Amino acid sequence: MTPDYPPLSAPLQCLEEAERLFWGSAAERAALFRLSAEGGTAAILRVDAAVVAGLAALGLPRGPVRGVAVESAPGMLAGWKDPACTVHLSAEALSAYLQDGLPDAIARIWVHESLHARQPYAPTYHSEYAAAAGYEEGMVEGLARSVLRDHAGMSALAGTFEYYVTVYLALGDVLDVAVERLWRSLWQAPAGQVRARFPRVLADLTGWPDGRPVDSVTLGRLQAVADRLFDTRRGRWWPDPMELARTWRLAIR
Amino acid sequence: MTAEEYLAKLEALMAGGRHQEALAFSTAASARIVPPLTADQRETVYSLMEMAATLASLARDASALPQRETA
Repeated sequence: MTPDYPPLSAPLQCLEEAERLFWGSAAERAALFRLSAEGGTAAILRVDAAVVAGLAALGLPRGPVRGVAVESAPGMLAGWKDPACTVHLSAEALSAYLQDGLPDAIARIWVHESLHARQPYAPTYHSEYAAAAGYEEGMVEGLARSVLRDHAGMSALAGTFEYYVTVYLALGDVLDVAVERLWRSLWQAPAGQVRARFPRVLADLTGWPDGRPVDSVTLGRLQAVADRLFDTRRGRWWPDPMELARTWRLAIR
Repeated sequence: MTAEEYLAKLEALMAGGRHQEALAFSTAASARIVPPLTADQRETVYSLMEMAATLASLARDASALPQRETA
C-alpha cells in the first residue's frame, strides 16, 4: 500500500515513491540532509532528484545544470548558483542548520538555488544583479518559501533576503494580488530579465476597480519604486512592512 | 569583533564593489565574532554572501570575455 503524506499538495502526491517520501517525511529529509552535509554522494543525488521532480510537478522546473556540489565553503556562504550553471551548497551551512534544528532550511536553500537555475542567465544578468539584485533574489526566495510551506507543509524554514521578500509581500497586499502569482509570472523570465518583465507582469495581473488596465505612467512609477526597494545595497536591511506598503501606495495614487 | 562590526565591515566591502574581499573577509573573520552571530544575523550574512559570490563570479566572467573573443 502506498503511504499517504497529508501535508502534500496534489501535484506532490503524484510523485514517485522515493520522491514523495522526501517531500512528505521530515525524518527522511533530515536523514538525507545529514548524509549530504557529510558529502554522501548517494544522498545528495537522492535529494536533488526529489527537488527536481517536485519543482517540475509544481510547474517550476529547473533548467539544465552541470551538477550540484556540496562542498566545504568556510565562512558565511550557504549556497549559490554560478553563471556556468553549477549549484553550490556549503557543507558548513548545512551542518549549522542541522545543529540549529532547522533541517528544512536546507530544503529551502536547495529549492532557492534550483529556482535561480530555471534557465541560463540572460546577458543582462550582471547589470540587473549589480544594480537591483532584489528583483531576482526576492522572487526566488519568496517562491521557495511558498513552495515548501504551502505545498509540503514545512514551517521551520528560516530565510534569507527577508527585506526583498517583504517588499514583494507588501506589493501583493497593496495591489490585492496573490503574491505567488506575481512570483510565478516573474519566474518565467530568465535571471537578468526579471526587472524588464516586472511592468508587464503587473499590467497583466492588476487593473483599476472599474476594469481599466493600469496606465503606463503608473507602471513607470511602480518600476521606479521597485528599482529603489530592490537595490542591491539593501541586501542586509531589515524590513518594515507597514512602511513598505505605504511606499507602494504612494506609487499607485 | 562584535557581530555589528562584522556586518558593518561586510556591508562596506559590498557597497564599495569589493565582492571578492567581502567573501575572503567573511571566511577569515567569521570564527572571531564574539558573541557568535544569532540565527537571524547569520541569515542576513548568507544573503550578503550569496550576492557577493554571484557578483564576484560575474566580474571574473566579464574580465575574461575579451580574451575569449580574441582567442
